[in-house]
Amino acid sequence: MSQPIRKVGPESHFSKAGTPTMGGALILFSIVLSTLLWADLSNRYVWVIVLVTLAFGLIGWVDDYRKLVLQDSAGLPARWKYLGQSIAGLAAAVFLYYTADVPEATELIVPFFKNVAIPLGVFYIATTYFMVVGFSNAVNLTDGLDGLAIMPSVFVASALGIFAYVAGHAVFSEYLAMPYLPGSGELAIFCAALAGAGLGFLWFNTYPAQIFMGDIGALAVGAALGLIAVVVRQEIVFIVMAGVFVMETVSVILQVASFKLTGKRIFRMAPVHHHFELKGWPEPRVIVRFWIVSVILVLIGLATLKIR
Amino acid sequence: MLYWLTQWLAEVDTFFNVFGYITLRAILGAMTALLLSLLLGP
Repeated sequence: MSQPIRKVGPESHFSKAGTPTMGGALILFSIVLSTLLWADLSNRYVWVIVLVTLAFGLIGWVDDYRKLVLQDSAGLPARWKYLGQSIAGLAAAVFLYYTADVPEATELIVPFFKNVAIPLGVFYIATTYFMVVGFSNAVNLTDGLDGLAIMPSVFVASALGIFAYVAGHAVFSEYLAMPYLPGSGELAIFCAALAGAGLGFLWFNTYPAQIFMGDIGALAVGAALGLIAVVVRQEIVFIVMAGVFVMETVSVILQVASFKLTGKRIFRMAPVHHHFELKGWPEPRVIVRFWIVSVILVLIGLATLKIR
Repeated sequence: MLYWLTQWLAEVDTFFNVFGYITLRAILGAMTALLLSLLLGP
């Protein structure tokens, strides 16, 4: 099961042809089994996050399977991929909206302000959809260099685990002026499992990779992170902490918009990690520098725990 | 599943109450997932 390499990608990537892919299955199996072993299975948040992760993993698996069988890097047609993602994302959003047991569960929390919380109402569903589907694709776009997507995912999952623990703890949430969301603390176990599985996967995915994550891992990990951010009501902080994924996505949007409007490209190649590669940075330098940026952004996000 | 088992065992021996703490279960969850992915890797 080897990954076909995009013919339009950097030439340095042609040597990666033949590297096994669908390593995301390893991540998903480890996360789900570990969560089922250690989490409280009577908690609805645990089941929502596990089922959404598996649903996005299934979509990614279909995409990977088509790439491998047809040996074409195009994979699953985009419209079918977005349809599957939309169904899974909307189902999770609607379920969370109608099972919200406290008003804070559907309010937008603004970082750095103690008393600013905007009730979202039905816009909660749209926000959740955007977070889940958007970050699923954002992690997928970032997954272009060895270890580039998984390490920031580990950093962000670890930070979200802290947010989940605090949000689910009556005393700590009051002390830190965060909304108390009963039951959300169990998501810390899922986050920890994601971080553990991610590190184990990185053992094999580090440059030069012995295995790739594939869409099965990237789509699922991105959706899981986005959904956890929604449940713990930290969407804005999450967008900052997951800034590497946001930057990669924005680079693609800007590149496409610029080319269609002016006929000129902003970057040598998008997503932006390819731009730096084509500027002459060796692949490990791009990867580690993006990791450093990710750590800084996660630390800024964690600072909002106290600075408000 | 192990959480439920430990909650049941806690009725026999109070030591198992320690598994009620999310922090301990998060650490065990991370270690379990890490071990699984290392063992199942290529």
